[in-house]
Amino acid sequence: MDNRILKIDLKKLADIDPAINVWNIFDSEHPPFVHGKRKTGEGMDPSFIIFENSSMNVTYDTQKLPIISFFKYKSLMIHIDNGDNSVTQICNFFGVMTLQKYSAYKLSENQTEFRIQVLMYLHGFWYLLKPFIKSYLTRWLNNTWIEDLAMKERKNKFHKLGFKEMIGMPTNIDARSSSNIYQSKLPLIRALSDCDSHPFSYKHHKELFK
Amino acid sequence: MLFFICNIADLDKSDNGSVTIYHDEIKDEIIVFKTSCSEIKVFSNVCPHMAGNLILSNSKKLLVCAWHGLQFNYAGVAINCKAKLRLLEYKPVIENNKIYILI
Repeated sequence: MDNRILKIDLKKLADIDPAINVWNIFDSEHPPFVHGKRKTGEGMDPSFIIFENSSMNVTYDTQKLPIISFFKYKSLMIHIDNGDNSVTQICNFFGVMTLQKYSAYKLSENQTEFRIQVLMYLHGFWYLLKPFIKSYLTRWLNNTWIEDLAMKERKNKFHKLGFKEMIGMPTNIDARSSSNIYQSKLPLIRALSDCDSHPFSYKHHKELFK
Repeated sequence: MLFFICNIADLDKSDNGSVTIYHDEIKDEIIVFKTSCSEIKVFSNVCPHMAGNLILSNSKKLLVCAWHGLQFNYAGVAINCKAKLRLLEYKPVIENNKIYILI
């Protein structure tokens, strides 16, 4: 492999339905609440959806560096649902092309392997920072995994008990069984409208290109 | 049928005046709190949007979803949401300073 390509490959285990992996990545409303501000000041700001359909979306994302958290960096992010509980993500923070794949495979009845693969093409000056970027990005990915894990476990637990998005828990206790299987359906239903509020959101294209 | 949730004293001891428990028999996570009018309220602590947990903000008289920021008033109705979402509410019964719910 071209040595300008930085590669990170993380594997995690959890008792979560693999389909929840797709939901978590396409849920563009949670980053400011769940990943908004870490102890060191780094984190994610609200995400804007520029385009979406039943298999992909394009978001405009803002992230903050640790300590100097007033310094924000932005990129368009393309998320593609590969149809096998994995999502490919393409972004371009600081002009560095980054390709990521988030996969989830069922290993046994109650164990799923989550794999996070990152490839960054470090051109010019960025190549000199390769060891630092690898260390920082690995820490970022691990922190994001931990924050998302609590969400995924909870989502998994209540879906198995009959929870339905935009409805809630069954009112009848007898209907709270443990046999439900989660299936993500894109685009996800959003409750708040902030994600669509960017002036370049596809919802405004008709008006913009009159 | 009555299901025990917690003691009234547990609400006073907690940091924000609420108690959250997962109840095995009911198969639901429950949030109990006392309003400024000393009324006991009991809701399912599972946000009907995506199943997030709720956090009580007694000063704002709201329950706020920790995942997406949906806000519910004390009637359990979402107030900052495009859809008409409502929390599942349970009927509290108070006996000997203990809080039960009637199902």
